[in-house]
This record gives sequence, structure tokens and C-alpha cells, in this order.
Amino acid sequence: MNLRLQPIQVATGSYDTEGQLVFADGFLAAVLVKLSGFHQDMAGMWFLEAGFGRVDTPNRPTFSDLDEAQDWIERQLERVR
Amino acid sequence: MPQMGQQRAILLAESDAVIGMDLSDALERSGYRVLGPARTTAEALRLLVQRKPDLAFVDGALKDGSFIELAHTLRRLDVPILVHLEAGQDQHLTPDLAGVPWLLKPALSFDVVAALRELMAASVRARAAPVPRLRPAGTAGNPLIRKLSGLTTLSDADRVTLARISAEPRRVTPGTDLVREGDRPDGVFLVMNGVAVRHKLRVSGARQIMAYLVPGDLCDLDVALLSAMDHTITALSACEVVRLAPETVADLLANHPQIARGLRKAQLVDEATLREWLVNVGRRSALERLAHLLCELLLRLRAVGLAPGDSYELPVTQMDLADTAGLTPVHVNRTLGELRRQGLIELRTRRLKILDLPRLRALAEFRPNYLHLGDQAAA
Repeated sequence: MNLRLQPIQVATGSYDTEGQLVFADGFLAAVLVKLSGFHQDMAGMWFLEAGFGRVDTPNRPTFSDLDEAQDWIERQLERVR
Repeated sequence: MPQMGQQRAILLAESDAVIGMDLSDALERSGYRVLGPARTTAEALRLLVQRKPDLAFVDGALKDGSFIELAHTLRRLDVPILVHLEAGQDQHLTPDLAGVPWLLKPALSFDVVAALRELMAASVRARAAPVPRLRPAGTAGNPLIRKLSGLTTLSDADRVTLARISAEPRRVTPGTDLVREGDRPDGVFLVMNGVAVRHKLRVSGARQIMAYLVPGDLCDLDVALLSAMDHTITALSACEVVRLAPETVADLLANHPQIARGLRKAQLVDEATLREWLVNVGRRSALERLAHLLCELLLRLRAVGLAPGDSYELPVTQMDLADTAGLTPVHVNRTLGELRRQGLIELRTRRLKILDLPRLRALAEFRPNYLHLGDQAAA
């Protein structure tokens, strides 16, 4: 599994605009957004703004950094269902 | 929290089997009931669904990775946590867990027991905080009587009966399970103060809240017909609740026709509310969902005299709102921000004020018909 990040601005309708597209083997798998200071104790964390296919989940998690987010995305993609 | 009068239960999640057994022995010797030891997050979450612990001791290095997920679930359930961490691991906790107490590995059983005792004492002190006075003074403020008066015509004798059965509420702390999924139902709960919820917990730790019980609400009139509860009812805030014995409910239904009519109508309203909530999670946007919920709570609380000036106590966290509306806490925070920005609401220290009810109603396409409040809803 080869993950690649690409910085992107995301129109979330909030202060959270700094994002990353996450590609898995060239396919868009997720969009992560960095939480702004508006979120107080969650500020600076990365939020799974959108996930596709196996990365899609109703309980979208937040991660302390991009490495943790990528580990989680990899686990989702490798999960046998 | 487990029901009153029981032995304190502690969830033990420890990746190392030997350490797990040692700690389990030490905790049992100290008088705790140990749930576990679980070696993985998944196992711990399964235990959590079966019984909610009073405390949790969690290893930061559980086998299947996401200890953070377990910690968040425990947070959500209001269970105090002590964490067992490798040197330096505390630097990597997510910001919201930064304040969680932790012990450095390998911790001695003696230290673990002492730290847990301290954590338990702190939690008991925090829970002993006074129940917020949501209820106006005097018998006219009895929320059950107010609610049923809106649904039916009560005689003075009916009012006396209702005042009598609701006279001695029991105080419960936030997080107290009134009845759990799988339990044999034993009577009907009536909320006199505070907010309780019906919810279901998934093995993954995800929770869906299906109903709020606000003052004057009672649950499942005919629950005694069932052999086991299919969901859990938990006090979200500090609450005052009355448990009506099945005989009391049977007497109300058989011998007090107007009360019976009011209670049955209330049950229909509960079902109609559930339908409306289903539309919420299935077919409304985040902004519409929260706007709808806030309009509904206003009318329900107004009906029992608890929403003066279009404002009311909202003793719930953003996580609770997220689990109610099927959103993430991030979306709840953004959405409340947007409602504020549009000048529709003000939310301060868990008191919500609706600043522009007509616009909020229009935004949510809120039609109060399902609450069957009669003239009260027209206001």
C-alpha cells in the first residue's frame, strides 16, 4: 500500500480549511482536514472529513497527526471484510 | 455508572497477559470487581457494552492499535480513566486526552490501586455537585402534572394522585444507568428533573441516542410486558427520577381514566418524536438536524414551564449532541458555530437561548404537530 498526500484547501463552511488529499496507490481514498483553533481541545488534530470505499465510516475519527491518520487509513484499506 | 449499592467495577485493559493477571488479582483483593483483563481494544469495548465500569485502567499499547478510540469511548460514557504508558508516550496523547492521569510502565500494583482509589474519590466528589434546579418550586411546578394537563383534562383528584406518585424522586448522578439493555424491566421511570436518554452502544464503542427524556417524561408504559430491555436508559445530567412499580402503572391505567388517556397520548407523542428523529438522521443536513432538535426541546421544555424567554438548560455535551444527531463532534461544533454566526442561538455554560425562533423554525422546517401540544405550540 502506497499512500501519498497532497495539500488542498477544503471549503468545509467553517474555519477548518487546511486539508490533505490522501491517495492510496493513486486512488483518492480520503480527505483529511486540520482542525482550527475554533475546536479548542481538538485544535491541531486531523479530522477524517471524507473517506471513500473502505475508508468511509459514520464515526469519522480525529487523529493527533498525519502519521496516525495514515496508519488508520492503511488499516482500514487492509481490513478483510 | 453501575446501579447503586453494587461493588465498584473496574475495566482492566492490559496488553501483557502476565501484568494483566497480576493487576487483576491486586484489584480484586482491594475489593473491586474486575472486568477483563482485556488484551485488545476490541475486547475491552465488548466488555464495556456488557457492563459499564466505574473506573478504567487502560494500557497505552493495546494489541490492536487504537487505544485512543477506547479512551474516547470511556470519556463519552463518563468513566474516569487511568492510563498505563511507556516513557515519553504521554507526549503523543491527543490534545483532548492530555489531562488524563497516567502511570509510567511498569507500574507496581500497589501504585495502581492507590491511583485508582484517588481517581474514584475525585470522581465521587465531582458527582456530588448539586443537581441543577431545573424545576420551579411548588406543586404547580410538578412537570408530570404540567405535561399531562397539556394532553388531557385532569381532575383535582388526578392531580393529587400524580403528585403522590411523583413525590419522592431519587437523585442520580450523571452517567447513571437507570436500566440496561438485557435487564428485566422493573417498572417505569419518570424523569422529574434533568435529562436522561435512551441509547444503544455498538461493540465498536459508537453510541446512538434515540430519545431524550426531559422533566415530566416517562418511558415505556407497558415495558413490564417485555422480558428484557432492548436498549439502555441513562441519566445524561444529574437527574431526579421516580421508578413507578408495575402495580402503580397498572392502577393508573385501570382506575384513573384521564391519567391513562394522558399517558397513552404521551406514548404516541414519543413514537411520533422517534419518527421525526428518524427523518432527522436520514434526511436532514447537520444544520437542519440541530436546528430541529433545539426547536423541539424548546417546545417540550416550555410545555413543562422550563423554557422562560425562549431559553433553557441544555445539560449535554457536544459528544452527546453528536450521538443524538448522528454527527461527529467536529460537525456539531461547526454547526453550533454556524447557528451562532447566523444570530439564531446563544449557548453559554450549557444554557441555550434561542434568539430568533421564526428563523430557526424555518431553517429546520420545524412543524410542531407531532408533539400534539394543542394551543401551547402556537406561541
